[in-house]
Amino acid sequence: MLELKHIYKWVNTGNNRTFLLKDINLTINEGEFVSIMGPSGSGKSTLLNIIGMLDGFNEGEYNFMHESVHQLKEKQRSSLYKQYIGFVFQAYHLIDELTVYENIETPLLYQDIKSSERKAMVADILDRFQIVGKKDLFPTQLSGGQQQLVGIARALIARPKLLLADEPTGNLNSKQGEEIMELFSTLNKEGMTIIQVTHSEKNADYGSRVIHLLDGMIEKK
Amino acid sequence: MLKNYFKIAWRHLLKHKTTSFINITGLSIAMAASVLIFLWVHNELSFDNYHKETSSVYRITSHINIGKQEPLVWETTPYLLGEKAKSELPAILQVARIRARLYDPVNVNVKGEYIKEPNTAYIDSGWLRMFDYKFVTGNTRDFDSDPTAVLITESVSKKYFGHTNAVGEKLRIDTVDFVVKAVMEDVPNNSSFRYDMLFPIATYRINTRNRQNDEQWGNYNYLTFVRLRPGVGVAAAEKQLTNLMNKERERADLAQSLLPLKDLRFETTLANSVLQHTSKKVVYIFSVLGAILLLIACINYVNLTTARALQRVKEVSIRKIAGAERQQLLWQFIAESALMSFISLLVALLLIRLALPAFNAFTEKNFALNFANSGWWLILGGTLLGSIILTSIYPAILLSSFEPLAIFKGRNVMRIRDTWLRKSLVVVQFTVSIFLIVSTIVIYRQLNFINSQRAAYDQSRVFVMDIPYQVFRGKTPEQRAAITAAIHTGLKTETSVREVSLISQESVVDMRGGSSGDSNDWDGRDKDFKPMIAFLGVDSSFKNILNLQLKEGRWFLSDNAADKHNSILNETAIREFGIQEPVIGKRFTSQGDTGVIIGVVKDFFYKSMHEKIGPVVIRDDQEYNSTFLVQTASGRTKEATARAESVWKKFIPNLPFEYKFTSEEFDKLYRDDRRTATLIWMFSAIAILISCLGLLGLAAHTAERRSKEVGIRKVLGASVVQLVNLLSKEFLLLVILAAAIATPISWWAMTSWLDNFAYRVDLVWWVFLVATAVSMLVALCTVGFQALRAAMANPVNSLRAE
Repeated sequence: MLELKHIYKWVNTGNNRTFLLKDINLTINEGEFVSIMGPSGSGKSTLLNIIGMLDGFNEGEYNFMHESVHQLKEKQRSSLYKQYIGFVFQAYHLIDELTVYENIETPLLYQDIKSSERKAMVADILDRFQIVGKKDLFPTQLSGGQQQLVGIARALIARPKLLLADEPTGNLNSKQGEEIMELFSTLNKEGMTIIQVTHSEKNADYGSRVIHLLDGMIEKK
Repeated sequence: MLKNYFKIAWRHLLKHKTTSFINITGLSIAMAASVLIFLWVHNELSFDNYHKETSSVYRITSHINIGKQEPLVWETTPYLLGEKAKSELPAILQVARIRARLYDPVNVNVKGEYIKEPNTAYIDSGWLRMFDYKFVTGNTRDFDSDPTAVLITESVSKKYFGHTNAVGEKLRIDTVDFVVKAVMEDVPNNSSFRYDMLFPIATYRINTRNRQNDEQWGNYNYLTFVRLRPGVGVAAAEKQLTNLMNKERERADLAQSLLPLKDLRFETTLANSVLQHTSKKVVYIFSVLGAILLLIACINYVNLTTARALQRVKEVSIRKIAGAERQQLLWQFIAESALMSFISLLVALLLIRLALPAFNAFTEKNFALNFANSGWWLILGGTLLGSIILTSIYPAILLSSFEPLAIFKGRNVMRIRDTWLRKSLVVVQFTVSIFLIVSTIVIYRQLNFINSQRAAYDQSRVFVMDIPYQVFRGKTPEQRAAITAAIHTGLKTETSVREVSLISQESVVDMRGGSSGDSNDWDGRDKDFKPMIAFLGVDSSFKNILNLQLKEGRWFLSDNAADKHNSILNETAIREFGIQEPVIGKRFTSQGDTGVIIGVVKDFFYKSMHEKIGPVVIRDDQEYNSTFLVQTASGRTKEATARAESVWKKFIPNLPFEYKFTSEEFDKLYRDDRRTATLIWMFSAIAILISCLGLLGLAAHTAERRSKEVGIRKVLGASVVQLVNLLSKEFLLLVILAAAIATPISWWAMTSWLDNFAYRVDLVWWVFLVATAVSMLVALCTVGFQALRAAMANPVNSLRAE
């Protein structure tokens, strides 16, 4: 599905060059559930953002679904992730002014999907996540677990091929976290490719493969 | 999608109530003011454009050469020119003439009571064909040929008949019964021809003498409008008219030019006009001021929105990650501005509704909230669009520019240039405010200066009573003298009247006319020196009424027959004529009558302070004097006017009693100036209010943003005063910067305004200081309140949150 070759990313501070990522080589196939682990500052989130095309890199090649991402223009890149990638965040990042229903609907609005079709898609996912009763509530009226559920529903609504999750359970208690990981595992079984960043060995165990990062480099495969 | 935009805009509006309140309050007040101004501007710019043939209609202007001086420019032309032009000139398709009834005003006789109709005119048969009138009832078929026909407006119809269907009704004017032929709609706000009653020219020409007057090429009494044949150039038509005039007059000292009808309203160069005019410059200045008010309010929205941009970073990032294109976000923020503007416009409409009566009284117009009128839609739409554009462009561009990753980066996404821009915009607001405050103070000082003129004598106790020309028509000088003497005695014997003087001028605060020429002479005059001189015929009691001060010599004595030939001059006359000391006793010939100078009166204001005091020659010559200047006894003014009315009724029973207090005339003289003062005052009040609202919002934001810093400083031992100082300083610096910019601009603008006056106050430096101090004080109160609140807060609260 995607392939990273000799990816470097750095920032210049004065005369020093600090490497965030160094010579990353990584291939992820469709249907995998990969966990990225590592201490703070090891470059996990940076790597995830590069995979998600939210962030660029300084050197190397990135192929995604037979497209050379490093050669694409900003606009093409964004239409690519718009089509194939869903994001889940540690802090949920729901829009406070929108209801649960509207938050989930947002990605569809930007894909020119007809109103009736949108309604059906959102209804489906609400049903599936068993949050139909919460659809008219605002994010602040929900618990953390419920908010993350909405966040995942929003990430999945446009039927992406790849789900990127940056510490999805970081803000949740263990029971809520478990539920989310169970959900991920179900999704993976249904064919969804998932890459998650996590601190927890337990969460990493839900995945099929673990990548350890240290100081911007992949430690072992 | 659009629905979604507006939904979230609405929720933001409700969530941030203070910001929304500030935005809507400021914007709606500014919009209301701007819409009213634009309404007036639109009306001025659309003057006389509603006639079908407006674009091909011109008014003939006469330029008469009088030797070395500038030619006289008149808006009038002889009656005969219209006749001849119609029949002889190929360039002219149609002619229309009008003659305002200035010298034979209409006095409607209602059961013996006379009511004066001030706005009436005679029109020729071409008038109704060239200009569009909307008739409610009746028709004008046999109007032209019927000397007892009259057309009236709905208002006049209601006034005399109680309804608008007055066709066929009789209206008694003086002693003649006129028949209403048709009732027309009231004169539109944008018409130069503000006549409520129109008479056919046949009414005027039924009188033999009038007709003879009309048949002379030297009498310029008509406004003549022509419609040019299609394809004819203006220059060609002007040439034909000039040639025709000069041929008929057998002279070559005159030129005729054509003024397009649409420029008639802006013809401000005439010395005299029967129509009202507005300067185009004034129209432009007010449109700019209206736009500036709107701009100031829009600045608030821009500042408050961008200051709070941080709170929108997350949303923008999420939306981008969810697949939003920048353009889609741009539209979302534009929709937010649009919603805010639209709500403000609705509030503004409410304000306009409330303010409209006062506005109409102020502008002497008849505007109404009328949505059938396309002008309203144009103005409201334009204001809304202008406000949307001004409020949306920058915030939308800024807010939609955040990269998706900004969500993780927090505060540092707000770049420095944005605070810089906000500060510049605050400076703009306060520059305008300070400019307007300076203008207000200067204008009021000038008006005060003008009013100090009133101190010379109590104007509210002095009124003029002009005996109408009709009373003397066909009378011998002896008969005239007998009439005025009788009235004089009648007034003088009243105990409520203190002093009466019979004078030649209709007004003592706005003296018109004057003459130059050979009829004045004195020793040492250069033969070519023919200055314009104002003549004032008075009697012995005049000096005391106006409390004139003599510089030397004496006033006229009532029992001195020789004084009939003597003159009193003002200081300016002595100086300009170059009369050598000793002045008293020097020969002075005035209007062909020779006597000596018996006195020099100190210069006094006899016309508007806009004009310089010129040479005045005062004579004790009663023959043609027909205006009574009456000074009432202190505290008995009402009684005196009542007495004057009964004297009038006794001697002039068939004309309405008319009198004017000099204080009223004086006020009228500076009406435009006082209007400007009121407008500028209101402008500055609104500008300051809106600017402070914006400052309040910004200060609140700053206090919030710096709450952690304030907390740390407080823990480290900073006092409340030091903290308030810290938070207020940057805003005060902005006001000082604004003052630095506003000072030269307002200095220039006020100098040009004061130059309109021949007598003016000096532009003193402290005016600028006061304006700056006022702005700083207001700004300090606004900011200080927020700063104090932040400084007094418990530092634990702000630090715990981190």
